[in-house]
Amino acid sequence: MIDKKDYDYIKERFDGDGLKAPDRLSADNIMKQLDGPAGSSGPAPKPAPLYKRRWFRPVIAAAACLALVLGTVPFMNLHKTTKEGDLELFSSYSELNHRVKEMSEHSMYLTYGGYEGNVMMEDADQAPEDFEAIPEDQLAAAPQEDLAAEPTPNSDAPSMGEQSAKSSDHSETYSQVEGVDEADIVKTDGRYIYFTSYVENQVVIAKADKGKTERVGAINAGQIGSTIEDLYVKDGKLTVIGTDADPMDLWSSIQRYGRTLTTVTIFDVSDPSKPKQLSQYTQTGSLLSSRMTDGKIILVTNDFLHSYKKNQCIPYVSFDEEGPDRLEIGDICGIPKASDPAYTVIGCVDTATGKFNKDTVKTKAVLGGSSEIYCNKNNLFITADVTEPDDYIDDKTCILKVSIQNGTVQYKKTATIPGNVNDQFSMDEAGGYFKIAVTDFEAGHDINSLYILDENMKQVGSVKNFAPDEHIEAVRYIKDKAYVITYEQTDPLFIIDLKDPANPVIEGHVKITGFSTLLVPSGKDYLLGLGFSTTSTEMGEATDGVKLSLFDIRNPSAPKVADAKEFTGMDSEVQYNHKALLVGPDASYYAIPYSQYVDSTDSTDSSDSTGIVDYDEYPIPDLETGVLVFSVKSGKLTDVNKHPSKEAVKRCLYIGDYIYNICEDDSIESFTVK
Amino acid sequence: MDELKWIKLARQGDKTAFCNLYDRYKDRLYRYAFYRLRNASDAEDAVSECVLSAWKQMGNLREAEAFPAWIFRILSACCNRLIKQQISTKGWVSLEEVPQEIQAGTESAEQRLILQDALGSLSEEERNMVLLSVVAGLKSNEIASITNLTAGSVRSSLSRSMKKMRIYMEQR
Repeated sequence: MIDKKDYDYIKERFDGDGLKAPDRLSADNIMKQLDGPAGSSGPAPKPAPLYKRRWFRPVIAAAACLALVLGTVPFMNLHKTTKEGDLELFSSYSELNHRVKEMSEHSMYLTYGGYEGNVMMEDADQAPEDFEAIPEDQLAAAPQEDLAAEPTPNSDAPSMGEQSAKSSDHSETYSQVEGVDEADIVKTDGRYIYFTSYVENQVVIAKADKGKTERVGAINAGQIGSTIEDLYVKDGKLTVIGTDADPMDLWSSIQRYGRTLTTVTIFDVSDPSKPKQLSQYTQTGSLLSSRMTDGKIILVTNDFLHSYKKNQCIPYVSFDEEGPDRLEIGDICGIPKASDPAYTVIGCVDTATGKFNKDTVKTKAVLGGSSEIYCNKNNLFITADVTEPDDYIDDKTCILKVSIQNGTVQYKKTATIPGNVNDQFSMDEAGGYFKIAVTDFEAGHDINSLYILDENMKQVGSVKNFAPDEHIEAVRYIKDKAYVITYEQTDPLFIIDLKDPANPVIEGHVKITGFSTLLVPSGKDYLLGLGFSTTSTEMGEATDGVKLSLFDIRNPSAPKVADAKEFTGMDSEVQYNHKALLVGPDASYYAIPYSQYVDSTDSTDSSDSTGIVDYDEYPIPDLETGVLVFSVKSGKLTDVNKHPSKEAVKRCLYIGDYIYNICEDDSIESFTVK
Repeated sequence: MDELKWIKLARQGDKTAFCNLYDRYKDRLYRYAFYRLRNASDAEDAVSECVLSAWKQMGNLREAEAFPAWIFRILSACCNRLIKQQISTKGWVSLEEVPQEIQAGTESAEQRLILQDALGSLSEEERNMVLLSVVAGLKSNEIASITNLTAGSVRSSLSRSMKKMRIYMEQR
């Protein structure tokens, strides 16, 4: 995925920066500062552990890179057969500790975590006394999770696909599921624009009125955590999600380096010039993703345990200034055979009262890290990559279903299927059925499959092994159909009929050059694809710009390419991130930020007869940045216009008749469409 | 001598082996810290804190092959701590704050300025990932273990960040 040309270009620049460690850091000077033998304050050197699993042996031989196969966060080690979810409960913290320790003995991933901060943390071995003092027997009595499969109310949350575009006076972040908001770096409530500034590391609040903007307020990162990640705006309240990479100042006695905290801070912005902090909630782990539905934020973090220490392997939460509070033992589940020492921490944060405490925030954790989430109003589905003990290249995906109704977090079931998901759009749940499309690597070939699971996460149907040697780049579920784009050679769109969950069938397909990474329904008859144009090279197909495709899906057995437009040399964040798409009122237009190289002069050789290049005259392509606006009318891509901007655009949004560009340098530009 | 042998000897408490090993890494470590902390004196502090801490903990390093990722993990943590200090003592360190020694006007100094500016167009996390990839030479799964992200999201983030940096630098 990483462009080798970009890597080489940047590497070369770094190599030419002339930076060298100064004299003070010479090996000789460092030598003088070393006292005592290595590991003098850490544990004595241990021989490499004997791994019980034979599959570890070739891994050891293949060294660090393979050691980090585990870095992709396996959820559990599986037996050959796909098992139905059965989450494990712990009767006490010591039992949980024992499990984590057991895992640490098998996990090479943990070797990286040897950093305990001995130099800077004097008391790393000692957990605070109040934590030690909690009697295990009291904790053992914690209520157990009801794991029995309960009938799930029909999860008929319509996907955006079914929804006709709403008319509103301002835009919202483009999201997957109607009624489920997704956090982003830019938000608007129709009067004010809230955005995160990387330049100043703060949240900026700007008043927007008829195309003019004025900064009225700001929230500094210091209030939130060292990095501002994402925002939500609802009912006069701004919620900022931040991460703190190194919280040693806070809880130095129980924390260690490398553990990340995610904070949710809510502000009253009824007077945007004076944002007032109402409350703050913190949970351990780095931010994976979040959603907001009915005023509740579902926050999912990965709490990596880099090293094992007694009583320090429990996820924590904290509220405002209160000290950390570890999760109740009954709120922590394990999946049998889970191999990776990371927790997925799930917080359900009710923002309605503006006050965070144990009544408004429910937090649970499951042992095992995660990679993608899909969330509708009723359920949250979390996926994790799984590596088989006997065949560590053959990846599987484990899916955990969690009920999030009524502000609670309740584990339901797990399922495991072969292959990996592309992104959140690969999943959907409606009418009690969960659908997931995956790409699997089998016998040297990519193959693609789609699985349908019932409300107990039992597989009821599947379409297997379609599009050999291609892999999934985009999926969209609309009513009882799945639309799947694959890429590698022929780049087709597949339409899969899901009417009979037990027997999904490929109804039709159409080939097109280039591939979409985001599929957006356009009325009932058309499907808009946004993604990459491609070109043939000696090395095979390569991406070379932005491509918009319009598919005519009126006849599912014979879909057609109704229209397509290519923009060579253009890049857009929408190719990677659906949140960069702006859908205008009533879907009257679409807008995406772009950057594109434009040849400003002719490409004649500017070297003179001596062969010396005159750099002043050498044509350097100009980088043009701006917003590309287009419409879909009568089956055609129309009114395609570039609106160049002075600075690169992070996001665009609309309020009334104006489109506002929020730029990389924190400036805001605006324009009108027609 | 083979680097792995040095690592193994250092793990057993061999000071010279450790210093030889460090000598091989010191420029990379310093470069990483310099661009993360945006000034030379903090970078020096971070590297020396890192190397002393690494020496004390060599015994915890189970797999010799994991040394590069392990040492940069320590350095990354040291830098994170210093960045927090920078924020709390000076508010936020402005990206425009140019360390004096790089205003020297040489070509390589110019290069540093451009690199700093280009890195400044990224978020803290993106910066860290780019430096771990290009300066430290770590693989995406190793970076994932340091940044607490999945390897897939490291790759996609790196791909975007590097594109952004290249475009930025080509404009200059």
